[in-house]
Amino acid sequence: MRNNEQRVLFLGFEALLSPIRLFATSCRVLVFSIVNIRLHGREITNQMFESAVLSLPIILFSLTIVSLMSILEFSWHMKLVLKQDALVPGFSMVLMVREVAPVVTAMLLTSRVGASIAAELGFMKVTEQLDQLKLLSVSEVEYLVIPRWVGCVFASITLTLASLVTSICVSTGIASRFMNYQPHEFFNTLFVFTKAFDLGGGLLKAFCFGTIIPFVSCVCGLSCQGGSRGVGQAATRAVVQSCLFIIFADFFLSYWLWTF
Amino acid sequence: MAQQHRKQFWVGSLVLISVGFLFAFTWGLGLISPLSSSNQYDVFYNFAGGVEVGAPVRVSGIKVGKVEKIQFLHEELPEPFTGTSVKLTVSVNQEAKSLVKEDSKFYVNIAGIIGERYIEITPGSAASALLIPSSKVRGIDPPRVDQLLSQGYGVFGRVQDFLEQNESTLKELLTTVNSLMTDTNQLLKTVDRKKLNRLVDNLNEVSSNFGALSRGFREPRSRKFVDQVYDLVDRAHQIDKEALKQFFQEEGVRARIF
Amino acid sequence: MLKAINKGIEGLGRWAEFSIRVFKTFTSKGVSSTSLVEQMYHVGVRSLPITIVSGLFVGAILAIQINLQLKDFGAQTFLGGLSTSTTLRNLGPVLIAFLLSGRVGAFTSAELGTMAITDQLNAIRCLGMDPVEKIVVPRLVALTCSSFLLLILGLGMTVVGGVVISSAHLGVNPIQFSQNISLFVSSWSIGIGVVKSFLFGLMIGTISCFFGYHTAGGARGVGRAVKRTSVATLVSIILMDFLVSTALESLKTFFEIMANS
Repeated sequence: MRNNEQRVLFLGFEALLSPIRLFATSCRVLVFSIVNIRLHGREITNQMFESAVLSLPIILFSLTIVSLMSILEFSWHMKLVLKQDALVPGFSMVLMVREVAPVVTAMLLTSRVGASIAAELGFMKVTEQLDQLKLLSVSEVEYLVIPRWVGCVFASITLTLASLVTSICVSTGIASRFMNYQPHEFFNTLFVFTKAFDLGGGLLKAFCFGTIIPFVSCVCGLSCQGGSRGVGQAATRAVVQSCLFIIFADFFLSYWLWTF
Repeated sequence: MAQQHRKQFWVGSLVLISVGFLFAFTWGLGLISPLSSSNQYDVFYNFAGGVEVGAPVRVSGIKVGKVEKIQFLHEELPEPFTGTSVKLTVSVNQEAKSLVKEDSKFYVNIAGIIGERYIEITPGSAASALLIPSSKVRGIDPPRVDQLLSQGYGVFGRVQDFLEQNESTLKELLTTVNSLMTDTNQLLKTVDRKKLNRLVDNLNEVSSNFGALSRGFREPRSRKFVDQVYDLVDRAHQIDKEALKQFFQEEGVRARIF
Repeated sequence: MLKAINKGIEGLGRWAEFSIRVFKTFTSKGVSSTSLVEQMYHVGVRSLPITIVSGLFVGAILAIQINLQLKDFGAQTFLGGLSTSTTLRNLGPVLIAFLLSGRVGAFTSAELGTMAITDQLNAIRCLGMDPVEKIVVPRLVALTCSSFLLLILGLGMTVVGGVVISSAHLGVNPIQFSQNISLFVSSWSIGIGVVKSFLFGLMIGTISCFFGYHTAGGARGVGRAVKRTSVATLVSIILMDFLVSTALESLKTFFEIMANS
């Protein structure tokens, strides 16, 4: 029993440390390959396309609904506290920029991109394609990890921006339909509380989440073992661990950026 | 190959769209403001009443710019800037530039139900010259509510002292007023010359007592307090009265207006 | 584009068909308690740590954000009520369900998918038994029940997380925090949270079983099934969140009108 607990603890540390180790290696390799112009441009474009462009519809759809919910809930709460909803756009925008847009985008990216990265790399591992890459003396970090990293960071940042724009459009529509706002009046009150720092913080969060997803997923995929069962487990682990790390990172970033 | 081109096209257009969004956001947040040249003025204050960098600047109540920079002054400045301790750099955009004249006044004001601070610039008179960009102006300090309150406490204390010291006189005054009222009543019923004479005598007495009471208010410090109260009321008039009242009364939220 | 939409609608239909089939099997044949308990242990008990941790962190994050907005008002006395209410009604169930959809949904989908492509489901069929009855029903019931219970537990933990962070770092002690909770959080709000939790559990269960059961195409297919499961559950959770809120709000208005007339 005790032995088992030690093993679980060890695995937990391993889960935390392996992505960081891979991150360090990738940083080194990235710098090295930028210096030597050895980036796999086509792979990077492919990954950007896969993770950003193909996730666009689903993220826009989800964020439309999330922002709809968030503005309605906000007006409900504001009516409870202040007996009026004059400040709703300002407040909901702040929460959107700081919290909801980066986190929900990252969660959706985790399920779409993270799971497919882990499944793909796991499949390559299981079918011994990784060994073939080694035989061709192609570095797996250079060829597989870095393009995914670039693609995912790109996706996270662009999609966060896109979802912010979506949420603005949706909440303007809702507010002018249900809450007696004129669209231009709504726009004016939108940025009352939002500071440039909030936007910067939101994008920093997006960057961090976009970095967490590929590294956790790549570690899960590359350490996959045992046929199709292993591939499934790798994909599951990728989703769970990325989500957990995103929530942790979100907590620490929120605390560090805004509480001080 | 064609497929690769399609992917590149989509990625590229996403990059372009995102850059466009980022640009729009920074514009909306007021970080950058292309297509508009603005004038900057240095306004000096002794007490800036909680203005922050980025606070709006309004001319005639319309937002036309923002506070760009706040600096503390470390050395004493010559007239008319003596006694000032902060320098606010404010910007005013193209449309309102022509309204800022040499006799414009720069107030620090409060708006909205949570007490957002802004700089209000009154448009100058038509006769005076335009204010030269980046020139130095003495701003009008907002009333120090803390000082006002402490002065107010002083005045109330003195009024109380006065009341306590002249308790007997006041009682007398009240009884006289009382009898005055009854007399007036009588007078209305039957106009009697003799009683009217007595009434005039009583009135004389009342006015002499009032003279003693009002002497307490004539001190210069009390005078200043009354002026500041007028000033404050004048400013408070611009705040949305209904919202403020509801906000304070119904919610009991201790908004830090000041 | 049109093809994709067509395919999506077709998938929705197949999902509904599958769910009805599972439901019918469940009502007619029931579920064996031994396999139910085993599945409950697999998906429920082993997800406890992750649920508790995520609940604590979600509560803490929302308390921090709402505190920031209230601080400008000087109205930190409302922190407890507002953050608890926001968390219970809307963001809490959604964020915890996101995590559970990975931990529970993707896990089940991968397991069923592996069974499907290694012909284990076909083997059961060859033995003359119904794989839906033997494999899918216990999993789906266990998944729905344990997701529901875990979500309720997670929601409880969000309140704890909010209390801990606000007394440790935001300068609002637990008594102040709990003062206005009763003012903001009505039993109706808690009811919304509970109904949402149940429906999220049902969505996670049916979707993951559906994708897992219909997996084809080797190890690659298992990966694809996991990906599809997590995407579909997330989107359906968001959609459900909106639908349930709207439906319950209009129901509440309806009741109020009925009570008044």
